[in-house]
Amino acid sequence: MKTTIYKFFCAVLIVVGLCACEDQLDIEKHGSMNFDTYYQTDQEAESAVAAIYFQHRDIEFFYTLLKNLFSDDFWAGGGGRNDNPDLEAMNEFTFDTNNSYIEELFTSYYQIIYKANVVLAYVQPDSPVKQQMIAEAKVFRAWSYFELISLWGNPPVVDHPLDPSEYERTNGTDEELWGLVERDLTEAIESGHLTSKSSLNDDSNYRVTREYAYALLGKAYLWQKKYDQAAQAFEKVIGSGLYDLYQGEYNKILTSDNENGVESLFESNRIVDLDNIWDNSRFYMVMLNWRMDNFISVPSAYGLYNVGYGYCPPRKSLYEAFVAEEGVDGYRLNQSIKTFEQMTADGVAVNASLYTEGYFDWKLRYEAKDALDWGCCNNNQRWMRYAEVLLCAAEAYARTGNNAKVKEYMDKIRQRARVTTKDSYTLADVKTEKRLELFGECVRYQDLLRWDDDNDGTGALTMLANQGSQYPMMATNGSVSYRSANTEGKYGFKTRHQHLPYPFKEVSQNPSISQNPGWE
Amino acid sequence: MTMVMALTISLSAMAQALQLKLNNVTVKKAMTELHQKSGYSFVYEGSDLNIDKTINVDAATLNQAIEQILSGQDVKYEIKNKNIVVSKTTAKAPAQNAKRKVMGRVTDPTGEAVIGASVIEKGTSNGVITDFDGNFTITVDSDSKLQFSYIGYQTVEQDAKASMNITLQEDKQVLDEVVVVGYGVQKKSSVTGAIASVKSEDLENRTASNALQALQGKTAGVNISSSGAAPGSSSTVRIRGIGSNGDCPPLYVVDGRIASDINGIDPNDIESIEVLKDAASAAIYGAQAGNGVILVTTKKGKGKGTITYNLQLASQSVAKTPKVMNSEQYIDYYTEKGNFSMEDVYRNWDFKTNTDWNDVAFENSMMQRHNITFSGAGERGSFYVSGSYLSDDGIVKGNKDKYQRFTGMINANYKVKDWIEVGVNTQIEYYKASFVSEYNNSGIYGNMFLGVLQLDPLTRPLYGADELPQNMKTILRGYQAGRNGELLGDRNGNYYGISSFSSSDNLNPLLLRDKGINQRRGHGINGMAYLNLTPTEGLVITSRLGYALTSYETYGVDFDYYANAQAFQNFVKVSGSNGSPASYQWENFINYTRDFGQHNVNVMLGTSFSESRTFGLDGSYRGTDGDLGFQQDNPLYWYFAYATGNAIKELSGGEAIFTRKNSYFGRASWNYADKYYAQFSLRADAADLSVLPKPKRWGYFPAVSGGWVISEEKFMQGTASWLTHLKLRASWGQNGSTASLGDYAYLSSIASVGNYPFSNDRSYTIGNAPTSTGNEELKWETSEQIDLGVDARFLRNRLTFSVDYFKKKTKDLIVSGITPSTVVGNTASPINAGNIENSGFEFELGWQDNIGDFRYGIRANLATLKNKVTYLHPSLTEGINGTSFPGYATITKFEIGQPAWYFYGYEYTGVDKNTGDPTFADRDGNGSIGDNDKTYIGKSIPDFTYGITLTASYKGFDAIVFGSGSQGNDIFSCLNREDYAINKLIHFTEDRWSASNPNGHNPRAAANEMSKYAVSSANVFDGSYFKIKQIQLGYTLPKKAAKYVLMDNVRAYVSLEDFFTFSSYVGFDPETTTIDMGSYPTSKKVVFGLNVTF
Repeated sequence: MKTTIYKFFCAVLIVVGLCACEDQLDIEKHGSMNFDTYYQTDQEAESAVAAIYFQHRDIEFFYTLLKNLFSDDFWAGGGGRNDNPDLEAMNEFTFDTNNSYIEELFTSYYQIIYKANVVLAYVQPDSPVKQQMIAEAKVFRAWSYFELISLWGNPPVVDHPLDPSEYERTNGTDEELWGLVERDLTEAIESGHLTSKSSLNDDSNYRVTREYAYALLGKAYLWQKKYDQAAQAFEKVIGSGLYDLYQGEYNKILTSDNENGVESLFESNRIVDLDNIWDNSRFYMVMLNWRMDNFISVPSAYGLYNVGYGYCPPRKSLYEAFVAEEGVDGYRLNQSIKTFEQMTADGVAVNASLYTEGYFDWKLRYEAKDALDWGCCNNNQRWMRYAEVLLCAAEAYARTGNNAKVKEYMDKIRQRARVTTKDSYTLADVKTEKRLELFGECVRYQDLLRWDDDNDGTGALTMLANQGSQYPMMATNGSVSYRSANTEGKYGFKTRHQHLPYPFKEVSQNPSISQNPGWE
Repeated sequence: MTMVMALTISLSAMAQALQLKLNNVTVKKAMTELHQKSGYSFVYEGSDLNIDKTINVDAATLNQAIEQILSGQDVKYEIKNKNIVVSKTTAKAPAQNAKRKVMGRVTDPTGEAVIGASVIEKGTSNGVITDFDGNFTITVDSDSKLQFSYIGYQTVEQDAKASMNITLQEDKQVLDEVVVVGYGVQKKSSVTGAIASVKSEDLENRTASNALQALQGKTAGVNISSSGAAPGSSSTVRIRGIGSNGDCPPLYVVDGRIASDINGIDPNDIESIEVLKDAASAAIYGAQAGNGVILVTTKKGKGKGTITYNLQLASQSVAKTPKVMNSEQYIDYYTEKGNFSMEDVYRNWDFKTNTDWNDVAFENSMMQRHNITFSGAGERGSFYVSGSYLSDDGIVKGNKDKYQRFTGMINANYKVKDWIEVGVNTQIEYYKASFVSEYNNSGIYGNMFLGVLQLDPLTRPLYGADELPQNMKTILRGYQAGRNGELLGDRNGNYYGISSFSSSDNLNPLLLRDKGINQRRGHGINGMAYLNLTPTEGLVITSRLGYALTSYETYGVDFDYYANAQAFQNFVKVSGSNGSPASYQWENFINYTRDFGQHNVNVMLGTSFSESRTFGLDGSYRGTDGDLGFQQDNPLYWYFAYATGNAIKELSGGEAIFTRKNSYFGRASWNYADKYYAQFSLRADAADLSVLPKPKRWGYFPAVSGGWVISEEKFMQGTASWLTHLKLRASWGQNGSTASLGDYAYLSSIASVGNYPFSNDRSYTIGNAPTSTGNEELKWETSEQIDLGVDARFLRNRLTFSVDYFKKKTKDLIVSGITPSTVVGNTASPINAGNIENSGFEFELGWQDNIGDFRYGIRANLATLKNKVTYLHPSLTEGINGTSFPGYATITKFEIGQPAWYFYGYEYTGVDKNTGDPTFADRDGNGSIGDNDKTYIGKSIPDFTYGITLTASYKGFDAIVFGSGSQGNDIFSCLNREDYAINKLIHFTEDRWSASNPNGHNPRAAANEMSKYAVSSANVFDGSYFKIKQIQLGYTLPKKAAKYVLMDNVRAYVSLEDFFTFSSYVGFDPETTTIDMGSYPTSKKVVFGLNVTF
C-alpha cells in the first residue's frame, strides 16, 4: 500500500512537470523602445535628428576618397601598385558597377535620407523644438539628394519610409528631384526654425543653420544653371555678416586650431573624449597621411602623426596650376602642398620608393596632437567653407555678367591667399581659383562634371581623359619614373562617366531602375 | 572437522530407508504423513513455504521423501535431531540432490584463455568466474545446464559434464547491439532510420583531444573539418552537406542533455557516438535537429571492479611546408617587378641571409595524456569514475600555443527500489589555453602563419643590437628618443628582424608570436540527474534534469611595439573578460512497451523545458598615444589595477541574456514478428521572443519511417546460406533550425545608433533610430528529408553492407543583412528567402574473418554529396556574398543553381604571350573584362568523401591502419597578394613570362590586371586528398605475464598519426583548408601509448 502511494505521488509530480509554462518564453528585449510609441516628445525628436548627424558624419570616408580620386588633383597612391585596387580603378576610370566605394556612398546617402524621412513621417510639428528638428531633417535630405543628383543623375525619389511593397523604385525625373531639393531647403528656411550663429565669432553652433541651407540652395540653383537665383541665395549668406575668410595662417584653415571658425558653414563635430575615442574614428586621415614608415626622418616641427598610408598624393599638374597662378614661392601654394625637394631641405629622407610624383598634401594633414589613437582623430570634418560660397557666387555672377561682384569676391579670396589681384576676372579665372582655393575639399569633381557643359575644355571629358595611362613611382633620391597602368584604351574618363553607375547591387535587385547610359 | 561430522550424520539419516507413496496431496498433508512414518518433523517459517501446493510423492528413503515434498520450492533444509529445518534459499544448497563437480577451461577462437568469463548454472544464481588461465571449477546439479558468457562474445549453453572445454565465439550479432536514439534505446535490428554508430574502440588511443576529430572518416555522411589545427581547437561538423546559408551545426546531446559542444569530454570516457542523419531519427529533437543530431553516450560501470590507466605520449612536428621563394628568387622577382632596386638590396641585405621561416616558427613538440578510470557494477547499480589530463604544446616554437585540460567523469546509478532507479552522469572539465594569431582569431592581418609564408627570406629572425639594418636602427632611435614604438626582441639583447623590403602586417613569426599574450581558461560541470520509475511492467517514467554550469575567462595583453606603418602599437592594452553561462533542461517522458502476440508496440510521450542564461563582462584598459597606459612596461604591471590615470577603459557586457525553449514530443513504434517495423513521431517546439515573434513561435515537426526485414520472409529461406540478413528502410521527416535566429532579429524597435556632440563639452545627444525594417512573418528554417536504405549481411555475418540514399531539402532559409534595395535606407530584418538541397549516397562495407590465429577486418565508407541552392528570394537573384579576399573582392557566393558558397571570380585563361599580362574569359563578349565576366570557378564541397579502416591481429599483436580522404573539393588560396613585396609560393612565380621567356606559364612580375588575377581561377586548387591518419601497432602481454606484474591486461602501442598526405595542394594542409588565409597547420605525430587494466 505504501509503495502504491509513493508511485502515485511520483506520477503526479511528473504529470505536473509535463505542463511547462509557455509564458516563460515572453522575454522582453533590452535596450530598445517601442516603435509605435516613440517620436512623441521634444527629446525624442532631437534624438531622431541626432541620428541623422551621426549618420552624416559617418559618410566621410567614402565621400572624400571618392571625390578626391575622381578628380584631376590626386593619384591613388598607397603602399604601392595594387595596394588598393578599388581606389586605383576610381582614379583611372577603370571601375565598373561593383566598385565598393560607389556602392557604399550611394547606400549611405539613402541611409541619411531614411533617417530624415523617419523624422518627417513621425514627428508632428507641434512644438518649436520639433519644428526645428523637422527643418534640419529637410536640410539633410536636400543635401543628400543634391549629392545623388550631381553624381548619379536621376536616382530614385524616396521621400518617406518605404513599405516593402514600394521597394522597387523607378528613377526620379529632374523635376521631381530638383523640386524636392528646392522645396526642402526653402521650407526649412521659411519655417523660421533653423538656427543661425549669434555673431561672426560664435563658434558654438554645430547644427545645420539657415545660412548653410541658403548655401546649399545656391549650389542647387548653380547646378541647374539658375544663376540669378543662385547668386541671390549666396548673397543671403554673404549678407548675413556671420561669416568671413579666416585671416590666420592659411595652412591652419583645416586644422583643429580653427574648428568652427569664422569661415565654417558646417562641420561634423568631434570632441576629445578618451573614453569614447572610437566615436572619432576618422580613418580617412590615416589613409591620407604620408606613408610614414617609408620616411626615415620627418622633422618634429611638422607635427605629423607617425602613421599614414599615403593615399591621395597631389598630382604634379595641380602643383603646376598653382605655380602658373602664384609662382613656386606662392604663399597659398606653400601652405597647401609640400614638394619633396622642400622636404629634403628640411631633412626628410625616405627609405623606399613611393607612389607619388614628389608632392605631399599639407593643407589637410594628420597632426599628431589630434591623434587619439590609430585612426581616431578629433579634428572636425569641414563640409563647407565661406570661401566656397564666395567662389560659387563669383561663378554665378561671372555667368550673368556682374563683373563687379566677381571682382569683389575674387579679390577677397586672392588677397587672403596673398596672390595679386587682377583688374577683372573671366569665368576661367574663377574656375582656376576654385580649384586652387578648394583643393582637396571635395568640390572639384562635381565642378568638372558640371563644366563639361561649357565646352571650353575645363570639364571632366578633357581634364580626366588621360587618367590611368600611367602611374608614378618616386625613388628614394626623388627621381620620378612612370609605368604603364592599364591596357591601352581601357582607362580615362569617357562620356558614360558623366554619371556614376547605379551600384550593381541596386540594379540586380531592383528591376524598375534604369541604369545610366553606358553602364547597362 | 565439525563440518565433516555433521555431514556424516545427516547423510546417514538421509539414507534411512522409508517407503512413502502419496498421490495428489498437499504439501501439508505429506509432511504429516512423513512425521507419522519417520518421527521427523518439519520446522519452517510460514512465508518460506507453500504448504497448499499439490504434490505426488514416491520415495524409498527419507531424503527422497523430503526432496519430493519440497520440490519446486525455493528452499533448503537441514536435519537437526528429529527436525527438518526448512529455510528459504538464495543459493541452492550444494551437495544436495545429485551434485557434480564440473571442471574446464574457456578459451577464445585463438585458443587464448578468456579471463573472467562467467560460468553460471542455468536458472540459478550459482556461478563462478574463470581464472587467469581460463580455468573454472563449479559444482552443479547433475542434470543442469551451464551458461558461459563474456562481454563481446556469444553466450554458450551446454549440459553440464565433468570436464568442459568451451570456445567462445565473438559476438558478431551486431544487429542486436543497442543503439541510442532520442529518449530511448533501440535494438539495431529495429532501426528504421539512418543512424551511424561509432563505438569506443574507434575513439580510444587516438591523439584527438576532441571526440569529434576522431569521428572523421569513420562513418559516411558525417564530415568533420576544422579551419585550423591549433591545440584544443574545435571542429566543424556537417551532417549530410550544407543545409543553410548561415551556420549549420548539428545538435549535440550528451546522455540526454542538449549541449553546445562536446569539447569537455575525454574521448576515452565515451561509450558510443550515434549520429542521427535522417530526418525521421532526428525529428524527435524537432526545431534544433535540422542539421542532424550527435548523441554521445558516456561509459557506465560494468562487471567486476576494474581500474584502467591509459598513457599517451606524442611527438609532433609540422606535416608539410609549402615552397616559397628563396633569397635569390625573391630578389629576382621583386627587382623585376620594380618594388625595389638592386641598390636597395645592396644596402639592406648581407648577401648570405636566406631564412626559412618554417624552421624559425616550428619545432618538435610533445603532447601527453593520462587517463585513469575506476568502474564496476553490482546487481542494483554501477559506478564509473574517471580523471584525465591532457597537455598539448603545439608545434609553434615556445609555449604560446599550449592547451591543457583536466576532465573528470562520475557516472553512477542505483536501483533504490525495484521500481525506482536514480542516477547521475556528470562531466567535469577544466581547461586553459594560450594561442597565437592565425586566421581564426586575427584574419589575414598580423597572422603568424602568413608571416611564415610571406615574410621575405632576406630578413634574419634575430639581429644583435650592433648589427641592425637601417630600418630597425631608425625604429630603435625613435624609441630611445620618445619611448614610443618599441623594437621587440628575445629579451637577451637581440631584436626580432623586421623586413626592409616589405611593410605588410605579416611580420616575423617570432614577433607575431610575442607581441601579445592570449589566454583563455574555463571550467564546466555538466551533467544529468535522472529518475526512472517502473510502476508496472513495460512502463518506464523518466524525469531528468540536465545542467551545464560553466565559466570562462580570457586574459590578453597587446604590447607596444613598432614594425612598420601597418604594424605598430604605441600603447599597452590589457583586456580581460569572464562569463558564466549556465543552463538547465528539465525533461519528463514515459515509455510504454508491450507485446500483443507477435506485435510489439512502444509509445513514448514527453515534454521538455530548457533555459540558458549568460552573463559576462568584457573590458580593457589601454594607453593613449604617448602614454603606454600602465605604470610600468613590465609584465608585473599588466593588470587593470596598474593602469595609468589617462588609460582608456572600455567595458561591455553586464547584461543577463536568457533564452528558453518549451517542447512536447511523442513517438509510437510498432513491429510485427521482427519483420515489419513502423514508427511515427511528432515534436512541437516553442521559441522565446528573442528568436521568433509570438504568432510564429510554435513549430511542428513530424516524421514517419518503416522497415522490412526481407530475410525473415519464408520465400527468402533459399538464400539463407549466404544472405544472413536483409532489411529495407525508408523514412521521411521534417526538422527545424534556429541557428541563424536570435537577438530579436525580426523586431523593428528604436535603439541608439550612436552619440553626437552638439557642443565641445563632453556631452552627447543619443541618436535613436529604427533598428531594422522589421519582419513579423519570420519563421524557422525547415528541412525535409527522405531516406531510403538497405542493410545486409552475408556469408555468416562476415560481410556487412549498407547503403542509403537521401534527399534533404531545407526551405525558408533565413537571410540576414540583406538590402532588398539599397534605396530603402535601413537594414532589412532577416527574411525567409531561400531553399537548398543536398542529396547523396552513403555506403558502408565491412569484412571480418580469421585465418587461424590471424584475424583481420576491413571497414570502409564512402559518401557522395550534391549540394545546390534551389531558390532565393527575387531580390537576391545575384546571390548572397560570402567571404572576401581582403583588399580584393568577394570570392564566395550563395546563389541559385550553384553549390552553397561556391567560388566566384574570373576564369583565368593564361598569360598573354605578347604582354605577359594575365588573361581572362570574356564571358559577356563585350571586349573588356568586368564583373559580368565573373563566374563559377570552384567549390569547397567535395563530390565524395571516404574512409577506410584496416585491422589485424595475431596472437598478442594488433594493427590498425586508418585513412580518410575527400575528392572533388577545391581550395581558394588567398596567399598570392599583389600589395607589398611579400614572399610568394613558388607556384606563382616560377616559369613566369618575360621577354626572354615568352612561353612562361605565370604572368610577368608587375603585370597589369593583377587585382583580377587575385580573384581568378588561377588561385583555385584541387583540394582532393587522401590522408593516412593512423598507423598503429600494438602488443598485448600474454595474460600470464600480465599476472606476474599484478595486472589483468597490459597493451603497449606505437602509432603514426596524420603522417602521410597525398594531395596536389601547394599550401599547408588540404584537410584544414577551404579558403587559405593562413591557418594553424596540421602536425604529424609519432605516438607511444600504454593501456593497463588492474
